[in-house]
Amino acid sequence: MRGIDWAVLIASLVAIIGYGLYRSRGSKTVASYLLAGRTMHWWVIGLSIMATQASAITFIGTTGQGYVDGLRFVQFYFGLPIAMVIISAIAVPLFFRSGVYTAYEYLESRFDAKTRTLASLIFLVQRGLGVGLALYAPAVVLSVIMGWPEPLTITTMGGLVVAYTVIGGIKAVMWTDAQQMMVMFAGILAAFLAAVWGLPSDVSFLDAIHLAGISGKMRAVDLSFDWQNRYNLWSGLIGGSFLALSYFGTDQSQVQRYLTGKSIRHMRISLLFNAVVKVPLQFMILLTGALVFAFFVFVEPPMLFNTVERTRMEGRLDPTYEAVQTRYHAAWSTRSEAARKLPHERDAASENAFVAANAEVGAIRQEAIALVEQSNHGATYNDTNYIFLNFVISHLPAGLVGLIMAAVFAAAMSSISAELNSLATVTVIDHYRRYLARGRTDMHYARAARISTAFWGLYATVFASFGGQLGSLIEAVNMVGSLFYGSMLGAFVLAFSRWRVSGNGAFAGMLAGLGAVALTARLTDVSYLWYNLVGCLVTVAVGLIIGRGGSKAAPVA
Amino acid sequence: MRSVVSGVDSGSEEEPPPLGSWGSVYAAVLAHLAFWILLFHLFTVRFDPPS
Repeated sequence: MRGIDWAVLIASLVAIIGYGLYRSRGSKTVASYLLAGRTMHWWVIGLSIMATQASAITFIGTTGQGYVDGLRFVQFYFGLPIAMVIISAIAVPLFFRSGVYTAYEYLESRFDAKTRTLASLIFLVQRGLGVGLALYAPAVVLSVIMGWPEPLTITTMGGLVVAYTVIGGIKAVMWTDAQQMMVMFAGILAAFLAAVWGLPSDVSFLDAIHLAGISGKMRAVDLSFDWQNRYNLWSGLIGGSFLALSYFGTDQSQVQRYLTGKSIRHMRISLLFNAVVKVPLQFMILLTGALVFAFFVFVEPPMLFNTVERTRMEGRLDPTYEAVQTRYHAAWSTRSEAARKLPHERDAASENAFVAANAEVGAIRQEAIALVEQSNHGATYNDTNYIFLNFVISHLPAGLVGLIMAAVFAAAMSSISAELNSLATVTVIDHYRRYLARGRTDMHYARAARISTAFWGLYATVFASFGGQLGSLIEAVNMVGSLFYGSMLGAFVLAFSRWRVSGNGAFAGMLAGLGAVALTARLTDVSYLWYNLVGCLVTVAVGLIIGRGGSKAAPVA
Repeated sequence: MRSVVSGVDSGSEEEPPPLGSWGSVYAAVLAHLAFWILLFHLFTVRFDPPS
């Protein structure tokens, strides 16, 4: 990074955090510290919801996924607008009128304390593991790309986030989220335009799309149905709807965003804003990745995108690796020549020559990856998350690099701050105030919320500092998250429904849902997107059978 | 109940929805989704050669 990039990065971070803290002044009560006094406008909530979901790994990983796998990941988001409509119509009025601080508090008003406690504990376990990872994962990538030591990246990013989240509470989190999301929009647009402008003068945008298409990267919609394929139209619409319902309707890190809304109207519009913007936005991010692929057809990319691993392998002076590197360069040259003919000779023979050359480049890269894994005693090597930042650092003009790095930092901090804030809220409202310290003053709980935020921030930083030694635990953390959502959603479906269900029924339903998902994960090859559907259906069915004759929810109106 | 529990009641529930009724807003959002899926399908048909 050059001087101007550092200036852009630092100025963006200072401006965003400074403005967030300025907007959060006066957050002294629990209601203002945790729910912004329920005064937020739809556009701040909408941007905050979007920024919370867009982690740094989503930002840099999705472009990498577009490069490697093309556009098919966009189908994952098709269920999101459906879920937003359902949540707006049903959950929003009930949450608003009940005046709760947490989604789980609503479960007690509808069922009983044990159902609330089970749901809130599941959230604490799931998000508690996730928040450390949300800090660790981007820190690793940024350390490699920027050449910083990992602890420095973790403490810089963690320290900044914890500071403004503790000081300003949810107002600081949401106002910074909104600015951070705008920086992300600018970063995505800049990267998209840079990838297009970086193409050779005789290669048009449509030529680049054609190149990506014959490389199998333009399959945005797959109409075939397969339980094991996570990215097709049906898993996106059905499985994606249940996942989005679970995440936006039951996860406190998201529910807390729209609980701050000044009215039902503001809450609904914030969700529907996401429903309208998210799908085309994800398409654009993936398309940027596919365009980076087209860019690297004409400009030779490194054989390995992880700079640290590449330097290590080159330093070993292994003749086998050097031979692979020589063959990679020759194969890339052949592919580049085949690609240069395509805009002028778009016939089957030219296309087949490019496809064959592209397959050769891919095969040689796989050989290199196998050598890396062999030298690392079989540890898996995956550099998808490094592709986009490699493109940015090596090929974008000064200033733009700083803007995109600011967008990556923004993406990381917006997710982490929302998670810290929601973890602290659940800890204080659902546990401390409910069981440990009842009937204290408002100031007491506001102070407890600050201490709790600091605790979770410290925990996340320590977890992330040991991230490198956790190995396969990180994959397990990702896996564990998808096991819980279905039964949480089932409990809320029972809570929002007009069916008569008792607290015992909802509690037993949740346990049965958790068990059903664990069995599905262990005994079948069904894609994880369907786990939410399984968990939800089993929870509802068992809840209805065991809990029949209980009370029912108030009408939505 | 809301104002009692949260201690704050600055919001209104009575503001009208943007398109006359919330049903129309939801229908517009779902139509917007259908539009993008159709567009992406046409994009796939145009640029993804059959394997």
